[in-house]
Amino acid sequence: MSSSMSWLERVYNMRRPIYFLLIILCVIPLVFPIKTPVGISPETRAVYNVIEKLPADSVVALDIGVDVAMWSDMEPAVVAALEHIVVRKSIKLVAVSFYPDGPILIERAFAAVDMKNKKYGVDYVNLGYLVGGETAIAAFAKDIRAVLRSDFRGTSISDLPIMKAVNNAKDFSLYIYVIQADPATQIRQISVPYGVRMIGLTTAFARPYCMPYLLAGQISGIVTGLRGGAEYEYLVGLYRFGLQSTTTMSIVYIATVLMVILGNVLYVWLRRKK
Amino acid sequence: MDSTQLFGQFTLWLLTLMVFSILVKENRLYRFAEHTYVALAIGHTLNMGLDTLRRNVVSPMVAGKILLVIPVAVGLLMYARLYRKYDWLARFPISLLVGVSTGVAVTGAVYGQLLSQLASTMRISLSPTLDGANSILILIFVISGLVYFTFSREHTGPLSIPSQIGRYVLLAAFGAQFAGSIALRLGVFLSVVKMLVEFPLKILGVIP
Amino acid sequence: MSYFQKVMLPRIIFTIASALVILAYFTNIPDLRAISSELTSWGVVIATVAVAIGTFSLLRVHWDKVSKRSKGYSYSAWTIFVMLATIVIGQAFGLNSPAYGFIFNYWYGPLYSAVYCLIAAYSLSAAYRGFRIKNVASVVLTLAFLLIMLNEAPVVGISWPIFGPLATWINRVPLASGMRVVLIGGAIGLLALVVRIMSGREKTPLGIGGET
Repeated sequence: MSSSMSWLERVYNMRRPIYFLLIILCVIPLVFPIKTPVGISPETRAVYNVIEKLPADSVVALDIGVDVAMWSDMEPAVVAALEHIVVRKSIKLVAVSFYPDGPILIERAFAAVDMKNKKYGVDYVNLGYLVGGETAIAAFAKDIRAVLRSDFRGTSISDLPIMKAVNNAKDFSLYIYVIQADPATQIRQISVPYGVRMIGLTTAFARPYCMPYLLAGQISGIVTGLRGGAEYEYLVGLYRFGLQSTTTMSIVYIATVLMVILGNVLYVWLRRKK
Repeated sequence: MDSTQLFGQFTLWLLTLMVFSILVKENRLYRFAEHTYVALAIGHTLNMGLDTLRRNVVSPMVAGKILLVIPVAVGLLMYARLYRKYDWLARFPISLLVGVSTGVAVTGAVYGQLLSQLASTMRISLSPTLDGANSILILIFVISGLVYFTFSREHTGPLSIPSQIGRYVLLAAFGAQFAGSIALRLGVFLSVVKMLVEFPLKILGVIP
Repeated sequence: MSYFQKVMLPRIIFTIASALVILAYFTNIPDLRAISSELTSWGVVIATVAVAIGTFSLLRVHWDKVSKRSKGYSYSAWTIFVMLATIVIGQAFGLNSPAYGFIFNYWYGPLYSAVYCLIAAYSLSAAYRGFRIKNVASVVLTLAFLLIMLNEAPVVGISWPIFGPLATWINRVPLASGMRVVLIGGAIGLLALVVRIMSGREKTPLGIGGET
């Protein structure tokens, strides 16, 4: 009796086995690769539809607001969006970032897409990083040329054909914000003052912050995290890291739920025994 | 994979293993990797800042925008913080910067956050549908949450029920938020573990 | 004069700068808007010029450790070396160069991801230990967590279609309401903070501390 109690107490108090269990759960789908389907959420469908309905002469802004640590979570959604906007719809895209990691991540995203006959500077551009947080966003939205003289690759803004008709936030038909935590600054400085339509490619952490704006109509749709990236890849017809991870995501998230239930079952069991 | 990529992948794999070694026990390898990360992060942030400085401040000044020398001079005062005797000089650029950024934030917050969110909350529908019921629930939940956050009166009498409802609404929001936080980190975790497992298997030729 | 220079003058600068930007937004005076626009551009330049301050502070902390041979000084020496090497490579070869790309893609990015995702393991352990159903509040917290977590799993939404609409309801009603309260409270708090700084009750955001 006492050895089974101490065994249960050991399970109840375990710490390191949880870490190794998590690693093993991530490895299982690599050993037994099974494809699992993914349902499309209404929010992801809304993002897809907004982009599908963009007129051919639109210019879209892409604002990378995540650090490199979260890039593996967001890359599927960003790459799918680039494929959809620049390649499939042939819509011009202006990328910018107010985070230090942003410009290099934008270059990585461009490199991950087969741009076919699309030309840098004509069909898409990376304007680089602006220091200053919300002040920089406000200044950028008001007059791009007042705060930016050249793109990330060193070309003067006036020499970039794509920037000929883009002077401020009003010239964007759509503003795509890759959201790490909170979309408030972009909503406050771009979407509301200039009436620019906004969609979010958000981390799972940022989704709660986006929901009030989604309900108020200030954001038209969101693609959330790795799962959202998988959904968007499916809609665009890509099979990349997002869709490849659906099985691992399922295993790990269900395991998290089972761990919480197990913890409670053991808690009640051990309390009754005492 | 060429030799540079191979070297890069190998050092990446090794450094990641060093970081993960803390899951076993605190050790010197983890501390080495952690210090390397901090150094790289600071170096990278400075590199991006200097690049922006060169492109958007120095080049325009050289090209003739002389007036930029005023904010540059004000910005340089910020470095007075590093010297205790003169650190009060840094208050001027800080005050200007904080003043401008709070002014910018307030103007955006009034319409973008306060008024639009209040308007959306009060947009209720009395139709006997799920959307109608949800709109009324949202109104009740938001008012209850705001009552819960009011600390200038005790939550007794007529305030007790709304404050309790508000508390549960906020708890539901935080539970969902914590789920999102874990989902984000688990997503990154599985990509890191995938790399840790796949690299040695690729080197050994087990997988292409 | 000293108190005026060190405390009152920063407060006056803050008040004028924030008032100009706020008034320019809510009025239709072109000159005011032009000044506010110029101030905002200046704010970006000031922030850009001040970008190195964090680096100098950190360098000083680690240099002190190395020069005094404090505990762990070898790690500080390594930190200084890597920091300077990264800066030199970035400035000498450019941020678009293969050399800097190597550092970003093979060292900085993966290290950041590894350190960041460690918290996943700790969070899982915390969830296993922390979510205890003891009262109504903990039931609400735990249920919300479990339902959202389950809905994140792609196979669950496909296998049990009830989870999709349930999770959507939780996201759009209680979650959105709770976050809306936080947003509204945050906006009111920001307005209150501006008034407090202008009236002198709050000095810390201006870098002032200690003086009365």
